[in-house]
Amino acid sequence: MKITIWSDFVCPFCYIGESHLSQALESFEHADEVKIEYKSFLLMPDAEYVPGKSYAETFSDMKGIPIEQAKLMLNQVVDMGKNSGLDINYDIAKLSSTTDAHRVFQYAKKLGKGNEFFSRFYTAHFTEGEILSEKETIIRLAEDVGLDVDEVQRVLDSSEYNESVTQELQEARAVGVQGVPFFVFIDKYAVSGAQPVETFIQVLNKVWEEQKS
Amino acid sequence: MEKDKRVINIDLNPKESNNKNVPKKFETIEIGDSSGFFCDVNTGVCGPIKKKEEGN
Repeated sequence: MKITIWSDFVCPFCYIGESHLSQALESFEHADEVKIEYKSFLLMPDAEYVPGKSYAETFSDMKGIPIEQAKLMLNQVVDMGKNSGLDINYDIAKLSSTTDAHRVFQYAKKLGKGNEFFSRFYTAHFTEGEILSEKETIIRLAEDVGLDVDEVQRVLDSSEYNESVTQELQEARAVGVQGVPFFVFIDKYAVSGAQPVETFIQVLNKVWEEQKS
Repeated sequence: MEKDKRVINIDLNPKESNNKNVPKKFETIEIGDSSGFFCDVNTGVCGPIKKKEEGN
């Protein structure tokens, strides 16, 4: 069973949604027949890390929303993360562009390491306070998932994989994606957003039945 | 208690629906009363997915 997920490394509900799907898969008896493919989405391509500014301040400035609203939103995310067993720490997280990281992700995906790449970059952003726009950081994290450092450097120094990222963004637009995460099961059924574990279990079972019939 | 049966994110009747969260390409799967949370791709703001219109 193929599951496609449009996501960004800095999207909190993508992180939470992926965790819920993983938990659902733990109780799905055909989990070993599930193949997950991530697709690039740039939630905040214009984001720029500003040293000394908190995540809430940067987000508030970028989106033109009151700081209190930004804090409220982030607190809600932290609480939801906790309930899902995830350590989301906006006290140290750094908002920045993920465009280059997505180009390297495309390279990783080509080598069959796309899912590990996503997982590593989620943790780096939400738990470790890494700046995902920095080339040195991308190289270090990519090395963690077994990518060749020189190749990653070469990708970063070029415009390579720009087209792959653009293509997946266009695909998302073409199918009308309005929010991420966006899950598509067997290229047929779409589920938008982080859903509860139980919902994913239902979806997995229904899709499995449908696929079987 | 009767469960609110909700169709998530799929539009069977795109021309008649106001649900802009629904892509045109995919099909319907009915699941309990789940609504979920996402990050809006237009605003970048994250929160509960809002149903555009009830009873449509």
